[in-house]
Amino acid sequence: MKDDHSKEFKKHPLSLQIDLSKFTLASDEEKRNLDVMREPSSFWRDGFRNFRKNRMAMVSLIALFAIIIAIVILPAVIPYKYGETIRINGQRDQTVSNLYPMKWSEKEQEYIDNGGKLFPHIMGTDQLGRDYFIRVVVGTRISLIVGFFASLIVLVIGLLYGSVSGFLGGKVDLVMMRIVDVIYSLPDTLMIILLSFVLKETIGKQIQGTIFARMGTGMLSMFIVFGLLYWVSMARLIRGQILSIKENEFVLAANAVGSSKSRVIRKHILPNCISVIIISTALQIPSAIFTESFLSFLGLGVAVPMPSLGSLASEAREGIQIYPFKLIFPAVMISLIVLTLNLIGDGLRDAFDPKLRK
Amino acid sequence: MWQYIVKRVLLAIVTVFIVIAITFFAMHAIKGGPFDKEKASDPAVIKALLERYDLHRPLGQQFFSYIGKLFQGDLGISMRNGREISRTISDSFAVSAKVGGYSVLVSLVVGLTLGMIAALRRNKLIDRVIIFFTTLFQSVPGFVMATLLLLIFAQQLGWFPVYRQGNPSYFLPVLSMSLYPIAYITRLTKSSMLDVLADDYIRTARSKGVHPVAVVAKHALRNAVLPVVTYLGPMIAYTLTGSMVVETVFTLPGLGLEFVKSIMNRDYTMIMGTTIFLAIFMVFMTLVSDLIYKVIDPRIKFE
Repeated sequence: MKDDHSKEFKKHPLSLQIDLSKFTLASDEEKRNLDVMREPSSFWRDGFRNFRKNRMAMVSLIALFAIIIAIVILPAVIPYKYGETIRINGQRDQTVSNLYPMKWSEKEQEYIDNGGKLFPHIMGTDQLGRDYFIRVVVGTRISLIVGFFASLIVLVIGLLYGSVSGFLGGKVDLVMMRIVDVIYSLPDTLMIILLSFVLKETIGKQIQGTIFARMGTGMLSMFIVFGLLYWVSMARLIRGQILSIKENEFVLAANAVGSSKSRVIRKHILPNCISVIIISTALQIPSAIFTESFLSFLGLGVAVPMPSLGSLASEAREGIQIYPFKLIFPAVMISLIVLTLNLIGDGLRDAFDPKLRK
Repeated sequence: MWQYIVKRVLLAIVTVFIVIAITFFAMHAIKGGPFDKEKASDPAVIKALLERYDLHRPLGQQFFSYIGKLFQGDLGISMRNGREISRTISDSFAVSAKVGGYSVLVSLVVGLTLGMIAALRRNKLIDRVIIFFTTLFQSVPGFVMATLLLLIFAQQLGWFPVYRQGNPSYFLPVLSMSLYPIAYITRLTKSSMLDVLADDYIRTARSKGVHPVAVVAKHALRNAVLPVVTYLGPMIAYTLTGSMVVETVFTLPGLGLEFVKSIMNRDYTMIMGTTIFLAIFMVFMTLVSDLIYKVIDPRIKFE
């Protein structure tokens, strides 16, 4: 029997047929060696592990959280209001304007000498005698809100437009993308200035009495402009993602086994492009904050007395030689926020972008 | 190739037309017009003013006559000082072009050099220093940077005065305008250089014994520069924004300053004229930079 086997084997010297006699069963120890030691990993778990390893991104994330907690809590703790001139015992104080950090005005000093207690002006006061620290805190809040909602608007419009265009394809896609091409080629800086200017001049009366009035024309027009112009790159990105994912074999397989369209979208297409969407949304926030500060510089930002970091920095340019700290504080805050958001965005991209994964 | 060029030129023309239409109708949507707050409420004066600024006719007619005049290079007259807008633009644009041109040049030279150094000395001290500063410069708004440079180098230290023998000095304006693009180009060059250096043809060149300098200069740099060319379009757009900021901070009499002033003064015709001029300029420059990119990289297919 054995002879037969080897004879047969010799007949085909180039055959890949395995000579079973040369193999033995694996021992228990050998079997254990092959056990999977590592926990099964998923895309998200992998990504988060990579992200945690990125020290710069983690530090930025913690710093950003600290800033967010601070701007939520501090306005409730500090006894000053961002839009109100400081008063001592209900009386206006002439000497309270333009104080240096941690200094008191004459009347405040008098009040403290008489045993009263006051909260220090950590960052001094501004020209109108308002506490500068609370203005910077509220300004940070406004800037972050503007950045966040502007990115959200861009995301929602871009996601809807891009996915419709990508899914439907064909003529619809062609027409939709021509529209995007035209908006994309508009010079966005000029258009945003122009539209902000026009909206600021026109919508003031129409929004009176609505919730938008509290937001102010400056902020509202910024959101409108972002909704009109800035979504196009997001739409392009998402359409491109969907087009390339649609061609994949797992989508074909899902269709072949009869998955419904919504299941294909939910389970196969969206999870594959969500990382790219998150990354570009995260990187959109700092650019929106920059745009807001540039518009504030032109006098088109948020409406007074509401502060944003951009408008504070821009106002501080007057009298910069005497009160440089008024520029420094908001400028440092803008830079800190933009820096942390950029580093977080970069970290997310390194951790989650499928193209960069190895 | 020709098909691509024709397509791009057509898109540019459509874009310019849309920009003109948006600008014109948006500016005319501001109700009441610019003369609402004027003291002269005499109807005859108002009528004369409206006729002077061509506001007495229906909007459609105004639009077409505006476009007609635009083709002749006539952008109307300013509502604040009565000067011809085309003349203001041609006078002030020279200053902006000078600052912008220098800035683009400086950004390209410095950015490419720093990016190359950072890539070749990867993870060394100099790489870390360069990346630290470029990250920092990318997180400071342009006007803050310009104001700080002005405060420190011109006013406190006095190293680079804003005016030199009565003429504005361009050093600080160009510097403050270039920092952001330098940072961007440096990072772009570094990452594309690292990609290129890992390619097979670089290894081939090295193994053939090509001099290390020649490997970088002839083989790597040429390919690493390509992504930077794509940044030319956005950089021109940035330069435009930058010129508004820098000229305002340093009070340089350029088009950027004129534009910012016209916004502050609510000078409608001037805003309209400047926006349209700058938009045409930008669309044209983007077109040119896109075409250059397609020409210098033979691997790109023409759709």
